[in-house]
Amino acid sequence: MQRYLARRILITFPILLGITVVTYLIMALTPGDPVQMLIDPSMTQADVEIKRRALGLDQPVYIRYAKWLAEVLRGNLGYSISSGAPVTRRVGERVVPTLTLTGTALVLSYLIAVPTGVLVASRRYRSIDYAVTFLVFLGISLPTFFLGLGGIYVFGLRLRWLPVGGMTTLGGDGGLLDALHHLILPASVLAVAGAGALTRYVRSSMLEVLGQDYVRTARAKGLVEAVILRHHALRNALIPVITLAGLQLPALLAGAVITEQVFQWPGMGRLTIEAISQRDYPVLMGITLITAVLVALGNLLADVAYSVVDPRIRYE
Amino acid sequence: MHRVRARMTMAITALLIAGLLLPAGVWGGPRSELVVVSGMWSPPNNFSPINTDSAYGYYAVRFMFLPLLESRLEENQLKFYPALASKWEVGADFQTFTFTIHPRAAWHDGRPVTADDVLFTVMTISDPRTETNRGNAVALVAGLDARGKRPPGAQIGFRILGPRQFEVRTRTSVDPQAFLYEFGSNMYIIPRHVLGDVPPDQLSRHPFMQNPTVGNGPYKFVQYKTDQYVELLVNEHYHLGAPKLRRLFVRIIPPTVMMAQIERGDMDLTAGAGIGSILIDDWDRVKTIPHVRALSFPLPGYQFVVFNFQRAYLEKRVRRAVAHAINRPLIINQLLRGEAALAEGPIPPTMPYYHKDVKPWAYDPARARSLLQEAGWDAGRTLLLRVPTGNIIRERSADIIRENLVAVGIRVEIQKTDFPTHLAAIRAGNYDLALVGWSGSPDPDVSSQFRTGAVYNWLGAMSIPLMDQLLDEGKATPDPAKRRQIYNRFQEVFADELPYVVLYYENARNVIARRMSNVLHDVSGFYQFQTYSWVAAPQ
Amino acid sequence: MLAAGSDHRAAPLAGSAAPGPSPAVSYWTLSLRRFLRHRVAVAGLVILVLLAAMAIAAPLLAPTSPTAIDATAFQAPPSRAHPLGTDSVGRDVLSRLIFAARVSLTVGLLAVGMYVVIGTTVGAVAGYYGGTVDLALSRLMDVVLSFPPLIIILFAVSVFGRPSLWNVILVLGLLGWPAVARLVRGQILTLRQQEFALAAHAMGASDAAVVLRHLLPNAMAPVLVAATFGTANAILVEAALSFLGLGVQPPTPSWGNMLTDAQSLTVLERMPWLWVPPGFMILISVLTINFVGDGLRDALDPSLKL
Repeated sequence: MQRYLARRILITFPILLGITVVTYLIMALTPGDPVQMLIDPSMTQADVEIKRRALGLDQPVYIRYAKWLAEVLRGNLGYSISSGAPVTRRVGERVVPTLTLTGTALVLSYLIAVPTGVLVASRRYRSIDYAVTFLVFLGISLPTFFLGLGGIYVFGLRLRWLPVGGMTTLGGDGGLLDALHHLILPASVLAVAGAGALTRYVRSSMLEVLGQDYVRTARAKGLVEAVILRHHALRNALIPVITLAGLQLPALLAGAVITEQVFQWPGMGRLTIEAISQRDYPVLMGITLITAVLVALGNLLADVAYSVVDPRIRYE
Repeated sequence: MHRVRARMTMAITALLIAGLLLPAGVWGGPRSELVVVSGMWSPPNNFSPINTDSAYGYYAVRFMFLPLLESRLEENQLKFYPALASKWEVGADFQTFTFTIHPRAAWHDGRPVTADDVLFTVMTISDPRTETNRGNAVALVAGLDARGKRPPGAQIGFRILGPRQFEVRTRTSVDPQAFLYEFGSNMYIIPRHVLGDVPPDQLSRHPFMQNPTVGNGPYKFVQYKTDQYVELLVNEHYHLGAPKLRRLFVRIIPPTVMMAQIERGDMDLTAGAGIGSILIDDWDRVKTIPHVRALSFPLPGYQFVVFNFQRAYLEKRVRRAVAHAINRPLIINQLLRGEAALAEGPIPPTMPYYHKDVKPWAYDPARARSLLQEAGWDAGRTLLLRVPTGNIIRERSADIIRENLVAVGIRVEIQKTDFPTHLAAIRAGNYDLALVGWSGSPDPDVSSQFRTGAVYNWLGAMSIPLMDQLLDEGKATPDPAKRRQIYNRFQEVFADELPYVVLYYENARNVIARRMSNVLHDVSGFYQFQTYSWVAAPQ
Repeated sequence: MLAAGSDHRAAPLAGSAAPGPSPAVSYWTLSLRRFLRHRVAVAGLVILVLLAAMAIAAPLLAPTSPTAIDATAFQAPPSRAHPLGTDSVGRDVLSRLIFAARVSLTVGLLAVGMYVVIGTTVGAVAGYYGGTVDLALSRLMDVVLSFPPLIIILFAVSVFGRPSLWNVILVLGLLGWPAVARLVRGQILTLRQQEFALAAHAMGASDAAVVLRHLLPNAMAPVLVAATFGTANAILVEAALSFLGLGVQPPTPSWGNMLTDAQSLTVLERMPWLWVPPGFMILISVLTINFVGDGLRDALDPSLKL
């Protein structure tokens, strides 16, 4: 296992390098650049050319990449083209809000999904199963922006229980309760959207396991159904759930673009969208690098977790 | 172990459910003091008074930094009012301009605003190493090249007459209105004592541009919570009188939620044209909200179809046919619910130089068909219409335009892309027709778009000798009466040649809370610099 | 807790041994019978076929052209002339809804079909062979998961030149497979160590046979879930893609782009005819696909009894 881990970690570095090369190249080949898109009547031709030079856009791609890489190796992710602020700051200030939102939503979605999934699996093809199925699919058949809008309409406008948009009350006294109050709606929308899929995964792999002979044996031995569910079935049904958790680790920091947009949450998803719409290459490269590290990490953790849940799994 | 976990799960769930059910009052008290919130759609990238992006950044900058003058449109005439300058004089030669800075004008750290600061601003903008988007503000100043940059060793036409007085000379005689508008009201003055030692090529990355604590306007910068809000606090020593509202917020908020916040009373005003206004779908709804006023008024910005002049088949008769084929009245009356105007050219109907006698071409599909026939239009040809995303009305209008053109026998394929891709494709000449918009300006000089080879001429890449000649003449003529004749002629030529088919001049759709008064907007639909006179009643 | 290793699992009966009550009845006939007994699944299949038929026969069914503009009725409520009202530029919602089935069903089914096939293949190979093969394929998945999808899509726009439905399918297919691959790989990793797989191997079954007959059927549960959710997602994402210049362009309708037009409180509250119909169609399609998937899995997996 240790040798395997060492190999996994070592191989990550050339892969990260490869990802940055390809992403940089693709970005350079994508139509539109940060200066091309400036059409501001207050600018003169000279202003445009100065900007192009200042941003290094007059140089060939490979030189730009080499300069970028040299800086990164020295620990400098560069400066945002649009704001002039260091990329580390632009990205860094998003971390806490992003994790607050996605983390809460993730916890909520597991709290909803795992019990619900187990419940409907044990009541398969009864009316509760169909009702949950219907709700789950209702949730995913409308786009997230629409669910968010619906939440705002119902809880923000009609009932007036919850504030809409932002993280705090402007000019208010702040405090944890105020922040929590602002968090409820976006986190719930995100959790509901995520819990749907998760419920189905738990349900289906529970069903798979419940059909296995050892569960039937346990039943035949006269064990209580709840014990069977919890001790025998759930653990073996966890593999796909672990995989999903591994896949969700990068998403945790990548943020939730639409939810952030609708609720004006200052997360990483919106930064990504802003950076793309302004072709802010240094910021995008910073985000890509972080995503790549998290993807590698998430999948590594999932692999380790597999062998914990099922000790028969071995990696050579 | 299991029981503990189960209990915790239950406790957390109970807490969350309680959170949902508690009435809002329990969560946070009322605001401790009166605050006013205005909303815009996107965040400012930075607060550089000479280099912030687009209108979002300048909206925030305008609370903190002033230009020398303020321009207002009054009865179709451009009028100037004091901002940092209290007096200004135009020389008889239409070439020298003398400005006197207000005796009490001061920076937020207490230092006086001086002629030296203005010179520093001009020198910085004209330095070929500075990243700026204010080049046009100084482009007329003597000693600078036509692109507003300073050749090495050049003497510029700027003379300091006293600590608070200076004289600017232009390269040639100019229309005073044009100069005062660009130099006077479009250039925000920056502090020499803070930025004087920063190398020009480092300015755009200087921390001041993220944290502009030393301004000269009615409000001081408190903080910017990224993508959330800009917080501003009153400048008690503002030279035109301390503002009556202590705290202002500029909240960044998408249009749908902006509507919800307005309805809830969380937001007092929309930022204005193009950066924060009411969605057309919500326009009727907002009018029914009792605690706000919905204001619509004409703006100089317009949307248009541009033709690719590199395509020989898009000749004059075909362009005219397109103008006749598009049902512009339908777009204005149905899509925009009447909140728009039409003119067959780039000079806004509300502006001094608008030529009333040039009437828009009528919606007339039969005329369009016969023009196409005359031009020998190949019915098998498909035109590529490029549409950028980001403006819902414009995207919807594309569907109407396509349907209209198909109806007269022009096949059209739409390609919708994000804005950078859209512009890149146009620059590459990869289009037949494209939808774009300009914000419009009170000065009639539109040569940067229509003059052959000018900075924005790639949009269409038209080269129309008569138009070039008129634009050059108009620029070189200081006398307003003669200019009017030239630009009248220009508008006639424009309607005849049709490098663009203008679709509509969209009205501003703003909202101002009824509790607020003394809120006025300027030429471009933004609030005037007189934010110090805003008043709001407690909620 | 009980150690999973002490459990005894039997091989599913699929394939080698005679599965049913009568040796004369083949595995497939039996599966079909089991599927037909699953009423909800059969109903789902019928509806799905009807939806497909509607898409094919759209020009015959739609009352008007999906692009024709009624200059007198913008965002008009349902009426005799327009049974489901009109959209924001005065087009008949019912006609657009019917025509939209073409784009949305094609994208939903083909894109997901594509990445499920790729993902299952790669995941199965990686999970079964393990070692260097697994390491290489898994890192390939990491790489694909690491690229910023929006940039890839914008880049694809410039590569493909002209937008078309097939480009959307291609992009969704090529970006979507690693998640499925990881799911399958995770399942196969645990299944291949179990007695029935080892037994099949010992009995001389080829690698392909072990994977196809014994492992994959047992690994398909999460894949079916991924596929049903992927379908809904693909139908909605298609609209987002056409915003970026990929995929079907206006005025061609799709359920996704019909919903995208409904982005305001006014529409949400007062114009349900703009969002209920496309939302309903997506719901129906995904629900039926899900039920058919459930039915299929039960039918093909004999270890589960109805």
